[in-house]
Amino acid sequence: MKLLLKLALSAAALLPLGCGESVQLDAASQELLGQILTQVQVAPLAVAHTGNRRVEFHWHGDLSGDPAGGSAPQSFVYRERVEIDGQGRFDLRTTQLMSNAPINWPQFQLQQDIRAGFYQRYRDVQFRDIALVIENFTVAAFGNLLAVAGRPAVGLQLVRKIGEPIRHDLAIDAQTGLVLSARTSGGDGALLAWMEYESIEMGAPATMTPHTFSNDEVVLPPGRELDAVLGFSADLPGILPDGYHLLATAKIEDPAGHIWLKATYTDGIDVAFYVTRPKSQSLAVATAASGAWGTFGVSNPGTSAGPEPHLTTIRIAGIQLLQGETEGRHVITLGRLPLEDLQWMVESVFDG
Amino acid sequence: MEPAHDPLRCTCSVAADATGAPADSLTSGATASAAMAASANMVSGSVGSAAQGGACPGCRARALRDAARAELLSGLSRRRAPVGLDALVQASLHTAPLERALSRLPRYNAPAVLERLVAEEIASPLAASVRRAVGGLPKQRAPGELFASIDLAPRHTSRRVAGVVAAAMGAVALTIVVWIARPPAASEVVAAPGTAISRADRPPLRLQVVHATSLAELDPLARAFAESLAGGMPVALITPQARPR
Repeated sequence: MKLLLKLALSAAALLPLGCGESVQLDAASQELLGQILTQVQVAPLAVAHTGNRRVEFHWHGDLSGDPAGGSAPQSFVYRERVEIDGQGRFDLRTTQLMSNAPINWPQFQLQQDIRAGFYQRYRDVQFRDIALVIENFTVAAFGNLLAVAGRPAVGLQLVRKIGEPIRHDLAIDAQTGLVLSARTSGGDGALLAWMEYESIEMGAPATMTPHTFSNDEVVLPPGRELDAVLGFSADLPGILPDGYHLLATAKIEDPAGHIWLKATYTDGIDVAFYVTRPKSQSLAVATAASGAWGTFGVSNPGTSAGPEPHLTTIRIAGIQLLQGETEGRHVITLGRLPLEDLQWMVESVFDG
Repeated sequence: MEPAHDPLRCTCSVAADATGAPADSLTSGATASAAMAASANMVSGSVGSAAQGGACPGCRARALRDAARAELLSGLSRRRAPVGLDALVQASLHTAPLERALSRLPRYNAPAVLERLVAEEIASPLAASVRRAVGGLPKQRAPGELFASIDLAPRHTSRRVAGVVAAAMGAVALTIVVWIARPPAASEVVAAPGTAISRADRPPLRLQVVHATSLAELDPLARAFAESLAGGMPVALITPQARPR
């Protein structure tokens, strides 16, 4: 109830600052917004609950992302059951595929189970850095009273100020700060992703098998220790997309046993990755962690397609991927970003 | 002195009735439990037969003493078991099945990284604590005033040394000018890792980018990342189409 009161008060304080316009919050409003966002930030794993939610991704066009190059707008929708014990443990199970897609259901379910940790950390809208959220986003609307999954919620609309004006429409549980609904739209207004609870029961689940991270990820700040764990120098991009900052660096291992550097960046909400390893890297000893990526149906390891050094790109549901080999390294970078931003990230790592 | 009467060795009828076995069987190796049973029977039911006269004086006297003890004991008030004993007994009865169930569960090894993290924590608790607290903080640039406040001018140098220094500085300055004049690569525009550079200041891009024409062109890890960020949507759902940039 404390949060509800705070939300109600802040609605009055923040709304006059403008709807749909880029506005500067005064210090008091920023502090108030910061307090609310902090509660929302910790809620995903701190609020014990069991729920069923719908997850949607939308796109149109082909792999290039050009609407003219592909088919009509399409959707990929499924239901999942989420269980959070409020102590940092969670379980995520995909329960129903709602799209008419030619997918091997048991195989897909297995893949979803394996990737649950990734989804919990990166897939959904979360406030990863409050200062960046305040710096990079405009509060376009706030305080609308909503009802999601039978619970009172408060609407919050955030629009990115720089770069593509990506919009996040959130419904925040008035009592706990849990995000009950999150719609992400591109700069053209097209819906890209939507997560929404369809039912929810507060309190720790009676029985639960928590998800176990199995990718053997080692998170370390940049420095000699990280280099030692990787076995190569963790050279990072010098040019980042506008508004993005480094969130974390880590060592990960792919299914083939290769060691990669994973650098995660954020604009406060969205994430972007820069992943790299030396081309000549000898294989690490394969472990159980090697299967943690859950990629199935891939038979070709993927190599450079021509003699000229080049990068390859695709766009999938608003997410741009750029990958290739350059300067003796495999590089992968992706995010909800323009292609040029990803290319600048890659090229700023290496000498010209 | 008369030896003490031993009912276990006595051959009178009371001793035989009490054990249900011939008296000589007791003398020839009866168990201790049988002897105790005999003694108990004497207390509970053999007084009558002892009093009937079929018993030897020793057994009769012992039967009377035991009867007197039984009467005294039966007069004592009963004491209740301590509060909570029932619960403890119940709990102990249920513990065994729980332990059995737990022992059947599969064992999971701790993640490999745990051992290293614990070792680091033990080896250098202070360093580990500092790393946790400040390791993820972004590096800050020194304010401009700091550089201005540092006096770099040589104070006690001879004219010759000053000349050499001036010439060297001139050469360095010339090198810097030449270096700056050449078109920069992306990696050279960097102020510090993780610092955003405005679009206007970014260098031209030099690598060729090709749109994927088939899924086989994608690294499996790249594909896994893209699919995961899109909630598991298989890339294969999107029709590949050649479109060179």
